[in-house]
Amino acid sequence: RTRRGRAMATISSDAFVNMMLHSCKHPHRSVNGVLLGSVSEDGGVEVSEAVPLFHGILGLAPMMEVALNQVEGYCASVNSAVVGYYCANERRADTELTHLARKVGERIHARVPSALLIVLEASPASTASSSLPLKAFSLSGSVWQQRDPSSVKVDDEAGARAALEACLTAAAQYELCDFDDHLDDGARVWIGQKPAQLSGRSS
Amino acid sequence: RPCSRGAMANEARHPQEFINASVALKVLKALRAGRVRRPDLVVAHGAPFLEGRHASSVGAAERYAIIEEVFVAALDRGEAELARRCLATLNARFPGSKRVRSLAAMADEAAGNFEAAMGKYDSIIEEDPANMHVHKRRVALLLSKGDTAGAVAALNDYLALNAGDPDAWLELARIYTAGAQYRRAAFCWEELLLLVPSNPVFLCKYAETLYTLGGPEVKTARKYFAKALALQPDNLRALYGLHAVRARRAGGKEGRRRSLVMRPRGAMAFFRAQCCQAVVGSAARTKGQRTDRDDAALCADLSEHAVARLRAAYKGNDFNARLLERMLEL
Repeated sequence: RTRRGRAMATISSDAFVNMMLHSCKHPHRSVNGVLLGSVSEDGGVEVSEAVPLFHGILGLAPMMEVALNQVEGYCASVNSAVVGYYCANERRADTELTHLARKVGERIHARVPSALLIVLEASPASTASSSLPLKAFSLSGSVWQQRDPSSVKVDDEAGARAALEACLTAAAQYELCDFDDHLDDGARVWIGQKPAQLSGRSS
Repeated sequence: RPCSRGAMANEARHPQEFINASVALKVLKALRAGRVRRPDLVVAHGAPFLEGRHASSVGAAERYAIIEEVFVAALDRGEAELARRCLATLNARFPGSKRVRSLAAMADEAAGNFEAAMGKYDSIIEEDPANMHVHKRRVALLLSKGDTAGAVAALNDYLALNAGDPDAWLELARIYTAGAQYRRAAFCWEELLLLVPSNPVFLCKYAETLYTLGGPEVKTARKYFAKALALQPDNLRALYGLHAVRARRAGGKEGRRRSLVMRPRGAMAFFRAQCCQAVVGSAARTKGQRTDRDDAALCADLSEHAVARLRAAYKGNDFNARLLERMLEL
């Protein structure tokens, strides 16, 4: 049960909702962000927060470096760590890992061997689907391998999906601020956003 | 480009309260002018002009323009029925019009019927080979299909004949960047900047692309960050860019000067001189006559100025200010 390959990746409800809101805010563009949290002794990963970074043009170095440096500084102050990276491709049906995702993943893996890469998929409009709308990858040797879906779960998935639906009903995704939005308006805060606050602001 | 994933965002329901016609028109105008993609707002404010309360509140021309916008927004949100009603109204008023036919093709695209859509676009182009809008829709369709190579080829063909179209250069830059083809993307930004020389957004994106290319391009990146900053003194991307350039050039901590005290006159003079020297286009690639030591001093001056302005920008916002300070400590 504690064998490395079976270690669970758990995503908090807030992190799940934030990732999906980021994707829904820019449905016609690629988006990306980092995952913060902790790792356990058996190689498991617990994601407590998803921090949205960019939308549209993702792969440019200078702002990515600034964002990652600032996130790392934040993590040090809240006793958390960067444990993964998420992205959604421009065509949501395309769930391939991009070159950028691998590069960022490798940088994170250098410090956190159980680093998680998540590619968000197109999600069916209803909550009828039983599987999570994402693919998760872990580095095995030098290859990013897709994790067995049963080894990835969302904490209180039903609650998370309900929260997401409530947010979308209130159009709360438009309140979410990623690093790109922060660069356009320095007064906006892009780390530590909670879905409940976002829907509160938009209704 | 119509987004089939709009179905997810469709969960958001239309606001129930009554929206006054003139307010609705203001909102729609603002979205149009800002080129903001908010299909939920377009549908909420525009749909009443189709058959509802506001249908007689505006002149015919304006009403049909709004219906066209609502149609596209409805496709974005996966609201097929609303889209169908919009298209039917437009078809009844403008039967056989090329513009309405291309809208019908967009509906095909949104439904995933790419072959049917392409057929419609191709037949319009046969009749009207100079139809810029439909050429670009073809590119969008190829991208939606996942045929990036085809889209790039089509977009390059289009630009060979329409080199004065900034949107097209922007789209091509975006596609090349997504494919990590930074050299080609840089070329597109250069062409775009020839058409629109004083746009800080484009100047910064060009600078970021050069920085990503690395090596000698980092110095040129610095010129363009400086040029953006000259136009927009509080541009965060330009400020962070100038700071990053110095860090990259110096190779990290070793190059950092101990003293962060600015030499006011010298630094500002350098800064202004640099901004004046920046020249858009291929001329910007010349190295200039500065010695390595003078160049390093210039880098440091620009970076210190950037840090001072960043600190000023975050004054009053403790959280963001702390993020900046921690980053500077690294």
